[in-house]
Amino acid sequence: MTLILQVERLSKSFGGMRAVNALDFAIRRGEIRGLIGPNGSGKTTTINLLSGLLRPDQGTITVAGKRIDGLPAYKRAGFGVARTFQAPAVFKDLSVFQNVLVGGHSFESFGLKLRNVLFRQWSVLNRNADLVQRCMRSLEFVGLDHRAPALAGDLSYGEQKLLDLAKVLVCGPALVLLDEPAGGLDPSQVTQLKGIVARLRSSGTTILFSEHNVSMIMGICDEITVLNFGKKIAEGPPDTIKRHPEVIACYLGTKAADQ
Amino acid sequence: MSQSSAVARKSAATRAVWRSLEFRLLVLLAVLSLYPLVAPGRYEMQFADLILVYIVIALGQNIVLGYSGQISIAQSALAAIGGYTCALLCMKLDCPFWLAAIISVLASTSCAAFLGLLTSRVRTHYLLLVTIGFHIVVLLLIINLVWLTGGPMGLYPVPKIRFGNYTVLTPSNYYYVYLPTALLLLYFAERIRTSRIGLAIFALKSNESAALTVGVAPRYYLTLTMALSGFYAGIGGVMFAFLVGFLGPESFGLLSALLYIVIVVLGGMGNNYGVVIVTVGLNLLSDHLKVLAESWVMIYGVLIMVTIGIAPGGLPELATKLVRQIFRARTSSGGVVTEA
Repeated sequence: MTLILQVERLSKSFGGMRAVNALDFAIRRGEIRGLIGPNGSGKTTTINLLSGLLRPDQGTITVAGKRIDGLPAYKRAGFGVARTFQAPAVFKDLSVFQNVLVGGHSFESFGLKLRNVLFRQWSVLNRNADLVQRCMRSLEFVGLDHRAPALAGDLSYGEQKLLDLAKVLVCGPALVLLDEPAGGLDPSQVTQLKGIVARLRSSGTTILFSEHNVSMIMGICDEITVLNFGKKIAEGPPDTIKRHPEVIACYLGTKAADQ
Repeated sequence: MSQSSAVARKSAATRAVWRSLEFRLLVLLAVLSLYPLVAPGRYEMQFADLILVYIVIALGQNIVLGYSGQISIAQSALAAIGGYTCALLCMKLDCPFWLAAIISVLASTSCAAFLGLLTSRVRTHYLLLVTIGFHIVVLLLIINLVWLTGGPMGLYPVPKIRFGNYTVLTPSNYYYVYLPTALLLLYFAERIRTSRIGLAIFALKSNESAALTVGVAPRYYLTLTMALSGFYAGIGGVMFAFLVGFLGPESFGLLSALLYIVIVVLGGMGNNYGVVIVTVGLNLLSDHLKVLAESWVMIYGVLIMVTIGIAPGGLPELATKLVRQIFRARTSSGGVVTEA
């Protein structure tokens, strides 16, 4: 089994608060990994560190054998790392289709050659049938193809979350980080989301997702990492995690763990 | 069966041509080319040329302010760089016009790119502060380098545009040079808007961290928008200098810089057609309200406040709102009539 993501001694402090504290974990290719923990346990900070929106104070992040912790966020897409946001990060003034087109930004790399800047960059959207097809496939994948011409800001909250996902799938990322994908969704949308995650996995994508909804995460994850106060307190398959005394303690209080 | 589908395909292709940007702009070019035939006089012709100049500069402001949401007020200063460079090259070094024009547009573009690179870490009103600084520096240079720029007395006379042996002389001659230029630049701006570059810039404005995580590099694109606005400003500056024949610091004051911001806000931030229409409208209005002289500027301030308060999307939004209201009023009153 090859590792797609390896995190070693990852740390990040905000002032005196250690949001992520010497975190170690590794994910195998093709796995669905859950990242759970109470509020403020460092889930979102971990995802921000992995996607490059925050710089780690310490530690290394290795994706498919290459260290990416020194890279700015916009270069990480090229390494196959994609992420969605807790509050759906869509471009509200653009159409749904344009949103996924932006998602395909690093599909072709242009560099700084004057010829490319002058000519290729603005012919690409009109003439690149391959990219357009990828975008439509990505929209179909999350079931938003019928909304393609709509303005992203006019979509419902749930649809915006799906669009956020569709837009990062255009380039076919190897590792997708989902930050609380089920937050704010109604039960039928959660079912739909589960289906999408399952199909994503069968297409060979590795998924790391943070979630509050414990029952959902137990259902679809291969392994779960539990954080509390920025530290890993447990790791293992869902059944082990369910019975882990420390996990029960941090979710339900120490008295419940004693019983 | 196959014949009818072939016909359908052909008609679809024809419709695509009709709808295409190129076709629409060519029609616009053809229609507007007729203006010199119906223009009442020399003054109106000259005024039309001047509006074309303002349109070009405003389109540049629209790229930086409308597309990327960066509040830059450097547009007038960049136009001044373009205009002064070209005029000086032609007047002092006897440079042929085409060469001088290329050099001066390159100069304004690279100044803007440098400014963009410097400011790629700051956003919104902080950029406003930096660009006001840039504007003041450029104007002070123009005023104080008397040996070069003529200082407050200005540069006079800037020669007419010459292509080889042909001199562009009358205002209607200028119109036939400036109209295609302005429309070409409008076409260019529209193409940028829907291109990979344009989408990346709009995405950065809309949600920077989301744009970052899909691979949009902010520094590159923010520098590029500034450079593009400098490109437009440079061309506009050259057009201004060779149309008016006189260059002075007051042509590029802070108020004129503010005017471009008013135009873009009223035109609906990022809407090129809106910007063109508002440029024409405001110029016509200010021409008719010349009696008010400088206090006319006060109206700009009121216009900005009212627009942002009522319709942040500018006049296009206001127009759609109005149309919708009228439509609704009509249908509801229609309902009353049938009930009676």
